[in-house]
Order: sequence, then C-alpha cells, then structure tokens
Amino acid sequence: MTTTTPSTTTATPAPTPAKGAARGLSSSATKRLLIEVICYLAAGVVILGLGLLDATSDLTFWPKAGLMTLAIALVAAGLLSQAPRRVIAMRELRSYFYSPVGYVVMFLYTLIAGMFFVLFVFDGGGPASMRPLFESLVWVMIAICPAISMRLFAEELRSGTIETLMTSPVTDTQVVIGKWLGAVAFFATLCLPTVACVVALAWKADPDYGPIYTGYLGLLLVASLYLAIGALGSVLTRNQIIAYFISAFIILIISVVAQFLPEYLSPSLGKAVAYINVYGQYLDFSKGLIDTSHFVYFFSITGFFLVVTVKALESRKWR
Amino acid sequence: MIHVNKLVKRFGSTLAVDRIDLDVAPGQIVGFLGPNGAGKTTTIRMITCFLPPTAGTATVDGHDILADSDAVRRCIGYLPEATPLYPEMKVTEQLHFSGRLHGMDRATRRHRIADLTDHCGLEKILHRPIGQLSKGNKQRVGLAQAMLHDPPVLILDEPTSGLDPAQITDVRNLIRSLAHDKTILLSTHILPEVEKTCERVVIIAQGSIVADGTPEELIRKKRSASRVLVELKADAASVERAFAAIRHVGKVEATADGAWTRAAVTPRSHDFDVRELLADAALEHGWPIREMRHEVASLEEYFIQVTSAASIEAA
Repeated sequence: MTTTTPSTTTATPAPTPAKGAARGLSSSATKRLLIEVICYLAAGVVILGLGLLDATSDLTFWPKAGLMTLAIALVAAGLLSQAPRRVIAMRELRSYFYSPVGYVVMFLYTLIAGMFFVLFVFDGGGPASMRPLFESLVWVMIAICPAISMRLFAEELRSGTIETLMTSPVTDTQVVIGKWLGAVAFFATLCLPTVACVVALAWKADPDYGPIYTGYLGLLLVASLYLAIGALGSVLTRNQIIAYFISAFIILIISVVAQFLPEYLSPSLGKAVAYINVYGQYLDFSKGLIDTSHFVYFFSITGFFLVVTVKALESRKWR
Repeated sequence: MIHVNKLVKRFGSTLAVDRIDLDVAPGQIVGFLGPNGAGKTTTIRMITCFLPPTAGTATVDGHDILADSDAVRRCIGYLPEATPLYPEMKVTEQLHFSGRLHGMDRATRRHRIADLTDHCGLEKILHRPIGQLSKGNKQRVGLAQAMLHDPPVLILDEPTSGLDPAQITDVRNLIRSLAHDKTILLSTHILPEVEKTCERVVIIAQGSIVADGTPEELIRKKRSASRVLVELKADAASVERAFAAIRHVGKVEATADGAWTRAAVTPRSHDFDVRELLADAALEHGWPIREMRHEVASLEEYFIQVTSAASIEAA
C-alpha cells in the first residue's frame, strides 16, 4: 500500500499518460456494480441457507460459524469491490495513526478491556470464558465508537478538504462507504491487543474458542452499526464535539433506552422496542449462538444508517 | 471548453449568482475577477460539480455538469480557495491519494509525480507533512495535485491569496508555464494578477457579469472617463471660465491651492486630446503652467467603476 516515489525516475523523461487513461470507466463501472450486487446476493443466500440448515438439520458449531464468516466476508467483498472506496478507506485508516486521537482511543480501549479482563474473566475458579469481557465491551463501545467516527466528515467539512474530495471523480456513496469502512478497519485494529487476553486465558485454562470467535465477530457487527451512526452524526456538523454527542445520543437510544424501556410499555410494543436493543442482539454472539435473525438486524440497521448518511451528505449541497 | 448558460444559484433568499453566461475557448486563460462575495467561488463550485445550480446549465468539454458530472470532474483540475489539503499527510502521500482517486495506476502516478516535482519545485518538501509547509509551498502542492491527472481544464480559485509578493510572482510564473495546451479559469480579486496572467478578463459583481474582454479592451472602454490635470498660476474662477469656453472641453473642475489652481478637465469626446488647446488658452492669458498630465485609466479604476455601479444598481 505504501508507495514512495523514487526521485531517480526524473532522469528519464516520463511519457505523459494518455488523457483517456483515467477515463472510460462507464462500462467497467457497470461490471463492478454487478460484482457488488452478486456479492450481496450471495451473502443473502448464505444467510438464508444457514437459517434453513439450522432449522432442518443438526449442524455443529463450526460449520455454522464458517457460513456466518462467509456471509460477512461476502458483504465485505461487495463493499470493497470499488477502487475509490478502498482508496478512501485506506487513507482514513492511516489518518487515525497520524493523529493523537487514534492512539488515545486505542490506549483507553485496551486499558478498559484489560481491566475488565482482570476483574471479570481472569479470576481463579471462574469459567474460562471471555463472555463477561465481551458483554462489558459492548457497553464501552457506546462511548468509544462516536470518538472514532466523529472526525470522519466533520474534520473535512471544517478544513475544506471535502471540496477536493467531492470534486474528485467519486460518488457520495463511495465517500460514505469508504470512510465508514476505514473506521470499521480502525476498530478491528483496536481489537487486536485484546487478543492478548485470549492468549492469557489459553495459557492458564482451556477456553471454548467458539464463543470467543463469535464474540469478536459480534463486536465487529456492533461496531459497524455504531460507526454508521457515527458517520451520520459526523456528516451533520463541522464540529467534532457536536458530532460525538449526536452519535452518542442515537446510540444510547438504540442500546440503553431500548434495553430498559420495554418494562414500561405494553407487552407487544415492548417486544418491538426490545428487538431494536443492540445489547439483546449481541448476547447470543457472546454465548456462541448463531442466529440468522441477528444478521438481518445488524445488516439492515447498519445499511439504513449508511443510506441516511449518504442522503445527508447529498443534502449538504442543496442548502 | 467551458460553456456556462444562465447559471443561477440561490442560498435561501439570497441570490448568489444571477444568470451568468460564460464561454471559455480551448487554450484560453481567463481571469475571473470580482470583489469578495461577488459570486466567483459559487460559480466555480457549480462548474466543478461541488454545488448544483438552482437553474441553468454548464458544460465542460461537452459534458453536462449535472447529467455527466463524473466526466466533468475527470477533465477538471481544481484548486479550491485556501488550498485545502490533509495536514497530517506527507506531500507524496497526498499526491498518491489524489492520483488513486482519479483511478491512475502506480506507474502512471509515479511518472506524473516525478514530472510535477520538477515542474512545481517540490523536491525538498516531498517527504514533509503538509501541515508544516509554508503557504507558498502548500500552493505548489495544491497546483501539482490539480495537474496530477493531466486535465485539459484547470480551475484555480484565488491561487495567490495570502501569499507574499515573492510567492505570488512564483505561483504566477508557475501558472503561466502550465498554460500551454490548457484551458485555465482563474479567479481573483487582485487586479495586477489578471493584467499579468490572463488573456481575457471577466468581471463579476453582485452575482452577474458586468464586463468581459481583454485587459486592453477594458482599459480602452474606461478611457471615456479619463481626464487632463493642469496646474497653473491663476485664480480658480477665471481658469474655469477660460477652459469651459474651449469647444472640445466637456467639464472643468478647478480648485485653488494657494496662488496656484488645479484644474481637472474632461474632454467632450474621449479620443480627442485637449492638452494642446489648454496650453494655448493658458498662454493666451499668460498663466504659467506647473504641470499638465493625462490621467490614464488603469484596470483598477475600471474595476472599481463597474463593480460599484453594479452595487449601486442593486441598492
């Protein structure tokens, strides 16, 4: 990915590239769109197949986890199928490591995860399970994810670099998806140090790796959702602090409020609100249970917030 | 190359750009001139597909800005006002990023960046973070970025604002050296800028175009208001009477300055030189002449004249 320019190439007169070199994308653009759609359809088929197989036959854990991973990988492949998205995502990911915010977030997240690990998991006589750590991390993410996503658009809107970006031959959708993917990738790197906890657990005990695997995948899905909300918060303002609070507010509604509100509602309405609850949707992942309805939940709500973000970005032009 | 047809932009109730028409021929360097807030940046943002127009159309290289904005963006190299660049990135990283967004492969990017490094003088700063660069150097990076995909059209929004005089000359020379085989639209509110770099000047005020032509043409138009200044030793009233009696003189304003009188004489027709007649009149009365000079209009005065006329009309 890193490309350095050797200044020695200046010795030979470089041929000017044909002006059409960067153009003529229209036919290959439709081809790439087709690939993307096929990826999503395939992911849908895998999830549907997983649901059917689960209902009809007695699948063991790992084939199911494999199919789940395949579905997520197919969606990721579809999202990454367009070059501009990869370019923007890569720049976004690297920019986290240029700014202190990236390191501060990483430090705090690792510190908190380590603390919870020592307090709740690494306890003599307790079960060798990462479950308590995962379930507390989901709550920590309410504060962490908006901090990751607040700069996505707000910073570019403030510094004006959005103008250069949006006048490049990229679409609004590509910009939104690219930036969001960059943030998700940063979250994935945040999780890397916590793998040390798993190693520590494996050193002292014999944990069941199934729930650990699904726990991490679930965290990634929760982060994807929170960061999509964060992207929306960030596109609405050029002030990063305001972006943080808008995102945190929406996230609090679908996590904390949806967690405690159903008690005060009628049973049918309470059930509907409980379905929105992120924590409830995540619990099965930390237990090592694979339920296709959770995929439908995470994919659809994340998709919804990304679409709203694209629309909000587009609407900036008409104001 | 650039064809703008009755472009309108409204922000709420304020009319920022009011039915602008503009045609830029291939290879032309056009200076887009106007006071701050005249609608220069808004017009440029509509041409570069950053803002959609409220009404009207524009095409760049035959591509419509709304229907085919991807093609428009590919053939424009754009340097926005204040040169927004990512401060945390190094110059090479910024250029590679921009190249990738334009779909250039690695070999092409390297060739182009090496070319532009020479051209824009980036050797020394190539591996420094943009946040640490001086404004002049930032401007060079911005120009290199705009040129990276070798676009036929360059649109530069106030490329020299905020630079010191040496840097301005620098950037101006750079633009001029890039000029061959490119169509350039350059916005500015600094006049000498236009006189020195552009073949054509379009003056915009209050959202509409108030003048259009070569710098020389515009100066010639302005000459109608030019006048002759004379200083002679006589009292103001008699000087005014004597000069006003001359047939070709339109208007005389005489002010006393001690024993001397300063008279500003406007001729009736702008291509007639009244200096000889004034000298004759002075000789006739025996008035010593201290100074006589023909006040030649500068583009600056023309600029002030047309833009203030527009603002008076608007008010």
